[in-house]
Amino acid sequence: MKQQRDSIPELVWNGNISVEVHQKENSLTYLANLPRHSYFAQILEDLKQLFAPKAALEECWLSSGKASIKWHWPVGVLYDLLSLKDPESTTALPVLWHLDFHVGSFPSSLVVPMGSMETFRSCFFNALKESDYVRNGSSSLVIALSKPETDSYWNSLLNHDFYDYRPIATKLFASKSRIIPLKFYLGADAPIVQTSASLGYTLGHVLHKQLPEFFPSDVSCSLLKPVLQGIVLPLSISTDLMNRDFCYPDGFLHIVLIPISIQG
Amino acid sequence: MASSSNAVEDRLSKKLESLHTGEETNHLQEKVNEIISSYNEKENRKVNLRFKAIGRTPLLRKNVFAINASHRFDKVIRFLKKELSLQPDSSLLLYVNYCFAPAPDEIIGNLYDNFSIDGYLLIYYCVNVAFG
Repeated sequence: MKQQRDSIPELVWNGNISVEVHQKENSLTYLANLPRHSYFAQILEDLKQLFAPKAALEECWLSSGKASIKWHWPVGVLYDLLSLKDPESTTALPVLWHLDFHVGSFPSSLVVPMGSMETFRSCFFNALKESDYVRNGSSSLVIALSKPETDSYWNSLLNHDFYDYRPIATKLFASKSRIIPLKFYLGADAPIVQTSASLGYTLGHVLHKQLPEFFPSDVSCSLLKPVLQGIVLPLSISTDLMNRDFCYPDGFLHIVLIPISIQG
Repeated sequence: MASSSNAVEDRLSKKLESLHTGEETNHLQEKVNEIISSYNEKENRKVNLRFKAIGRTPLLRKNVFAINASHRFDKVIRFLKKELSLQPDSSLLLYVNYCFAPAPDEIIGNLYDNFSIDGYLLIYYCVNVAFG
């Protein structure tokens, strides 16, 4: 019997990126399918064990082309931002993201070192508190989570378990205030515009209001188009739908703005 | 004869089209880069920070400062350690509005725009963990 179709939140949760990591002058390769809803910090220890077992964790870093990888940004956001691939491109090549592993010359002006899982856990929960603050005027919902709930949420991230994740996420992201947090990425070396918006509006309305030079119209794209969870969003999508189904585990809507495609 | 000249025309017009598309794409990227530059210029505004000590933590001589909005939060952490005569690798925790610790690479301007109260970004600081 055909199983019930996965809900959209489950499909979003199951989105993943195939990565291939090399190190210069090292014949070993690290291959993995990383969930969009995960962090490179989670594989740092494995990478070190493979490529440089004797190195210190704080000396290790990854790059994608010329860009260095932030340990504490979600994999999905980094891919949307750095892969330089247009999701609407007609040349639909399979996704395989090539990364390079480095030890030493740590780019400390660009990457925050994640020396331990404790550091990363603290970073993650602070980001969650920050998004909670936007929705609720304080980080009250995160702080009100019981210890079992907090551990369950953290483990759902580590184990990539949708059924542990979803009930807590639904509770945290509900937003009685009807305000939601967004981060717009203008490019790999370009500013991030962090803002908030109300439920009950379209994405086009929000973009036109926050970034009028890039979005002179709230119904059509003339320069940039919005990518969230690897999908080019229509400007007509509502903030309600985005908040309900497309948040990252830290509670933010991370939207990358890429140039519109010029069709020949 | 006719078909081969059509083929040449076809190739020529495709080449012209792709050149045109290439031009349009470059023009588009240029326009985007222009707007991003103007954004970066705007971020040279200064925003106000107000610091408050939590618990048994050294106090500052002065607790209000203005900082360039384009700086990252780790600049604030380093600055405060210096002001408090702490070693660069000592523990100092900073919380916005007593609620969350921003990541060191967050932009001050964004924190100010989203979390400031009455014209100040309120930062609580302590040398030990205030809360998990």
